[in-house]
Amino acid sequence: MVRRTIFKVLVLILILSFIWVEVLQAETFRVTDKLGRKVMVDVPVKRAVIVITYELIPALNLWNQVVGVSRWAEEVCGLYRAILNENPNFRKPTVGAGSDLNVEAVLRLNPDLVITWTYNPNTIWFLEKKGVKVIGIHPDSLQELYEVMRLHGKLFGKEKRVEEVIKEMGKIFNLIRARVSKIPPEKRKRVIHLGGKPTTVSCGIGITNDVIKLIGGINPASSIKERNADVSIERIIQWDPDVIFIWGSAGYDENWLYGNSQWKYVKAVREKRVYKLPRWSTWSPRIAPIALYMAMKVYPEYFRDVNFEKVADNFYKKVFGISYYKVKHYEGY
Amino acid sequence: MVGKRLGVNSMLEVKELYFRHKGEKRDILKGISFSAEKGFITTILGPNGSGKTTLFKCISGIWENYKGEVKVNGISIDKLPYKKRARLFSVVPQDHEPAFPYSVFDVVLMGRASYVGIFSSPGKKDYEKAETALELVGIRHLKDLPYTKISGGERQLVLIARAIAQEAPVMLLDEPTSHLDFKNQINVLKKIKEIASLKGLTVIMTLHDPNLASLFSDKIVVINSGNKIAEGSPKEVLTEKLIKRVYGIDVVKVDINGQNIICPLI
Amino acid sequence: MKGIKALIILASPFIFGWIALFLGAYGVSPIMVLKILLNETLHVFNVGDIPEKAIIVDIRLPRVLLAGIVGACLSGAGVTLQGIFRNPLVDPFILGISAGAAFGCAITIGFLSFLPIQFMAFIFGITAVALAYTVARTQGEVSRLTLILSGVIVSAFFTALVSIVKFLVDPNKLQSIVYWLMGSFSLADWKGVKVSLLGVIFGLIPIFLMRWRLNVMSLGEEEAKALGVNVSRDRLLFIGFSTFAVAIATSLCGIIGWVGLMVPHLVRMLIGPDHKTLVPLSLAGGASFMIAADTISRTITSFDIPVGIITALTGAPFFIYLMKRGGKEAWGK
Repeated sequence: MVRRTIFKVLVLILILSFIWVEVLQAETFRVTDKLGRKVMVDVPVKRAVIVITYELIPALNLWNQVVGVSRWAEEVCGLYRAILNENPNFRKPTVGAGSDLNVEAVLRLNPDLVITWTYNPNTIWFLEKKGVKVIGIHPDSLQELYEVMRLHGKLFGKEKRVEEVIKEMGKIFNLIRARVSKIPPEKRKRVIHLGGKPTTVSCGIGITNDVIKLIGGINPASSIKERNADVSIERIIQWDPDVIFIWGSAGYDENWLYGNSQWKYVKAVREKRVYKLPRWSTWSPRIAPIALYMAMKVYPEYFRDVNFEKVADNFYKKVFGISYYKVKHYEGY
Repeated sequence: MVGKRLGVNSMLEVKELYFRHKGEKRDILKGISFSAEKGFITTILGPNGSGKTTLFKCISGIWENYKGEVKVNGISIDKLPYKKRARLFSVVPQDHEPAFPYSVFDVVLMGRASYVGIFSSPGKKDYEKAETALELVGIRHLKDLPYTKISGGERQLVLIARAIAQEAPVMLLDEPTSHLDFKNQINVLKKIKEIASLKGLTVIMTLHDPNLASLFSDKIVVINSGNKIAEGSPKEVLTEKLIKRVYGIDVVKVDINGQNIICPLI
Repeated sequence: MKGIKALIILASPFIFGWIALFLGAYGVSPIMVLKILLNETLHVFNVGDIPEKAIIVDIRLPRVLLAGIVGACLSGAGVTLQGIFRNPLVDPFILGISAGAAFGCAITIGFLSFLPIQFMAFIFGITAVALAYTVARTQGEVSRLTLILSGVIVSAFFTALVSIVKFLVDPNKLQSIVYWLMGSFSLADWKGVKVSLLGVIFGLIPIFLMRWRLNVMSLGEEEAKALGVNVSRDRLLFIGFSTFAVAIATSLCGIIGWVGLMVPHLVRMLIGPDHKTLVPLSLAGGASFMIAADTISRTITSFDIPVGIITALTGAPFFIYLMKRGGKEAWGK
């Protein structure tokens, strides 16, 4: 009699434990990050430190789930600054520069998760050793960017919102695709993107290369299978790009190239088609308006009816909840 | 050597020389005074630790923090710029390991440094003087060999040739025989005597062997524990009593062919 | 035999430089190169206003000249310092010059971009050496060991300062600093060549004139003094001139290591230690080594490999070979 009761209790415990495990697994999410590290995260994340992808905070409304950001959010990102100006209570403690995190500051915030880039893997290992969960990202294509955004969605329980944002991005991309698909191959322009130095070009790997492809441009540097490479000016003259874009945060602008006798034989310089990009993060939904900006500079005749600022403003309001013109003011344009 | 008179034409005068290292409490040199006459070979003799080397470094200007006076030809060498000093006396150091393997000729040529301007290189005249010096010392055949590849005795001769190229009236030699074998000791000292006589140089050298000092010097200055014990001709200075006092060894003085030899009594 | 070796070394920068003019990303036929050069110098063969002309005259020629002059500066400083410190393994950076120059550049790029970079690099290069000298100067005398130690300390100090600048600066400028620190000739132009001539006039020429003195200096302080050399003053002059040369070189093209250490040592092994020949041959050797390394770095792949990697990869094996063959003798040990 007693034995049968014990047996029933054991079976009950067994069943309950299975259910318990099931419940646990449903709340723990397994991520493999860019460095190949496997990280188990309890979702939705409640206390995150976001180092590079801070533009996703307004986009996915993560204000209540983020406890810290890198200094760069406040110092470099006009969008973030504009939003803080409207909502001062959104301000978060900063944890150092994106390239050099202040680990102590991070630890003090007692985060559930740190999402950073893989620029300095040592920081990631260090935080890991201190018992902090870290996910390292480095999207090298538009597809990967979507994956990173969707990862953020999953981590913060904002899957639906992410799809909405991606849809808005898609609208702009579709607009671009629709226009440039009409351009015959022989009329396609050669486009290069210069980085920290005028001789550093974006090559075959990276979001920039994807964007150039998307807007119907040809990146002569794409044969180099790197993210960026230093090339001789001769090489650039040989490529003879039609349009040159300069990284928004570079220390020089188009006038430097226009005034330099070594560059005068480059078509883009001769025809004064060198443009410095706005200082926006490319690891953000804003890649879509950046792409539009670039497309309109490369093929202006195909976008004559498009009012860039209006499209951007519409996008900003839907994605970030703030007006483009307000942000423009904070970016000093 | 016999018959030369001392005390005439003092070329180098040392007066009341005191020296101690910075921060040390004891003096290494305790008021040494002596003179070296022009054209004579004066040897500073003393056992290890007597202060010979310190005295030598003070006289040659390597160490400058001494008390007292060192005069050459009546001029105090104290405030002399290096260039002027080098034209007054040349220094032949003990054999040592050089940093780079210069050729023998290059080493001798360096003796001309005080005659070559800072932005110049040695000229034809300098090259000629270096050649002459090599000839004089009898090592012309070693001219192109690396300094590091010749024997110790030959190296000492090279340094002497360098000092000759310097054309200074006073030549200082620091233990010129300490690293040499018997044959080379005699050869080198013979050479020094020959050249000194030929060029009328005033030679001051430090030695620790009394017999070598006796054979090759006109005057000997004996020092011990930083004090001058004696000064005078070898015959006058090197008595059995002095040797016993300075070296603590019983000796007997023997006269052979007019030369004085000190023989230790075992 | 030695005479022939010396002649080859002396002629090598011109041979390498000449060949380098024919090589580059933008293929220019050898005949065209000759025509352009003759057109520039003797005004024959009117080639017109073609891109090839800009390539040869505006891009390759200044780049080759700059590489040669920088190589000579680094090598000249190296041979001087090796002579003064009686140590064939001493290098221009051991006194902290490069770290000081690096700091000058970093601080200019980061915060004082209105000032010319070369000027700041030089100012701080000299500051570093002056600091090292002052720190080492105990009782009115400077022993060479103490000087080396102070140099190492000063170098560490300025390197730390550079890290601080990198930390404080905003991310855009950070990129520029990082790129500059890596060392490259890709932005070489005639302005740079003109600036580098300062290094020649106020650095290399005085060292060349004083070169015989180095023989005497290398005997050691005591002997040099006894031979009539004002050691403290001359050493100061030598260090000053070589610092100037290195600072100019570094300010123009970043940090390129190995040349100042390697070339004098190699030349000494081939020719002998007499500075009368060693100095001019080190200058020539440094120039041709740098030209060769830069030409390799810009022609081997479609992008520029950092030239410091080339100098290390080519210098090291050759050095090992010479060491094995008869290095001990060259050291006089």
